[in-house]
Amino acid sequence: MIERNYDRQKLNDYLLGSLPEAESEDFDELSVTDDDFVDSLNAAENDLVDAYANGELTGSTLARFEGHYLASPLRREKMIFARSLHTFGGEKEVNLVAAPQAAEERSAVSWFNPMNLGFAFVAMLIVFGAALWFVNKRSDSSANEVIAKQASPNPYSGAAVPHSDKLNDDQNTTNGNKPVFGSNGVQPSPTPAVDTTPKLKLDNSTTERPVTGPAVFSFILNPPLRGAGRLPTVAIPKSTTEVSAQLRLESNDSELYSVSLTDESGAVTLWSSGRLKSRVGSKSITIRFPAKLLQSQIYNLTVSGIDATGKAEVIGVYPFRVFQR
Amino acid sequence: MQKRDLKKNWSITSTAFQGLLEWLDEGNDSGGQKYLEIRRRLVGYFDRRNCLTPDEMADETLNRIARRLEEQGKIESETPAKYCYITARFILLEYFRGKDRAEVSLESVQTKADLTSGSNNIEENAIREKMLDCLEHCTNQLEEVSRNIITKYYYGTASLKIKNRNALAQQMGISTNALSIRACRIRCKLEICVGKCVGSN
Repeated sequence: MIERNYDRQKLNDYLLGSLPEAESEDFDELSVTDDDFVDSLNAAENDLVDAYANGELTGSTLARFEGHYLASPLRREKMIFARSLHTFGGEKEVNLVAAPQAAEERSAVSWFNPMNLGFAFVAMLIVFGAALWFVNKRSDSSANEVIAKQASPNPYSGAAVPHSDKLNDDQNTTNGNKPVFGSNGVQPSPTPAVDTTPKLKLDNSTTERPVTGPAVFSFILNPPLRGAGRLPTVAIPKSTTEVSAQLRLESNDSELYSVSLTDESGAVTLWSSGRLKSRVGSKSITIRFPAKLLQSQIYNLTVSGIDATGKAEVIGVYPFRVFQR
Repeated sequence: MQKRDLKKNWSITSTAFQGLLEWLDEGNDSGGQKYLEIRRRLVGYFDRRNCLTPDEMADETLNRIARRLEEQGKIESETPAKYCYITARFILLEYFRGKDRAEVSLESVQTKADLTSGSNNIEENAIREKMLDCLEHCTNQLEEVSRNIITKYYYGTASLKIKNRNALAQQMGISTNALSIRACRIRCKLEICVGKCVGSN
């Protein structure tokens, strides 16, 4: 195969209608007559459309894409296809991740026979007794310290810091405090240590254990209340790479759900999930998307329930404000 | 005047269409693939030139060529694709003179404007839902190698995507450019299959 490289920037300019007319005419001809050029042009177009679908375009390229490229229904269809392909790819990934989880669930089910339940009950009693002894012992020695911590104002309440998933698990097991949820409905989670401990301690913990995975910012959104005044606000550190949001549902009537992230007007969809299942035993779904999609502005997360026939119906819109710090 | 009316009222016959297919194939029977490919390129050309009816203009281009082939028996040109482009350019010029634009119905323009404004998110979501079902169906129709490429090549964003592509090219023992062309052709097939599937649902 003869490979001829065409200038990607020029191809993008051509697709976005910003190439000088003379060059455009040359490209027009090549786009019908030259097989190599057609291949390069198609590859450039797919990458450009994918970049838009993934929220990677910025500045004048984004403006030209929305102003020129999306002006054509055919090209808009390509963009919808790209988003679908992206979602489809995401679903495949979810399926791969879900497989071992399903195996764990299956092994958990196998425990539910009378013999195993008996063993489990005895084991639980032992663990509970040990934990009670440890807590009593610890509260005797550090009661004064706990009171001091509770009394001191916490400047970081209502916010969270980026953390790896592994680190997050560690924090959950080392701090039993529950976060104080604000009236605005946003609950930084699941990092209670962030809400209730001084920043100095947290910084130490992050410097001692280098974060090797993605920096994930997690928060929870409650079902939106009709006529509720205050908009939930999340302060996301600029170093965050991924955002994980748990959306609490008013009811769990659908087998499957899908979520889309849009700008305030709802006109521009920045990200869409695949088909999701609610968390086992809770009325909530959790989504994860790249943090770079967000800037300091208002967004909506729209949850749709999908029925057995595959029909989707919007069941809730969760508006929230992002503040990047 | 009478000759012009005859040309305007000419419609393609099966013989003329067969002649067009053979001319495009240049002696190698492609089973209609060359026709589909050139039509796709012409649609893209008219669309990039912001014509409101790129499909109809591509058909008009190929109809004119078929008519000429039927009338003259042969066409002297460097390549069929080159002649298609020259004809398409004439049609585009006619379009810009306003001849065809006047024939576009207001209803059609309205529908296209709605689509482009981004206000019709519900419709987009509905199309995407259909597309997702069709993607499952169409991906399953691909060969395993192609399925592997399409799922890995387009997965991830920014730097992760580039890493994935480099790794995949290395795994397959081809350059990233060759991989991009292969992935692009598979995607094109998939897009056509999904388009048909969505249209038939």
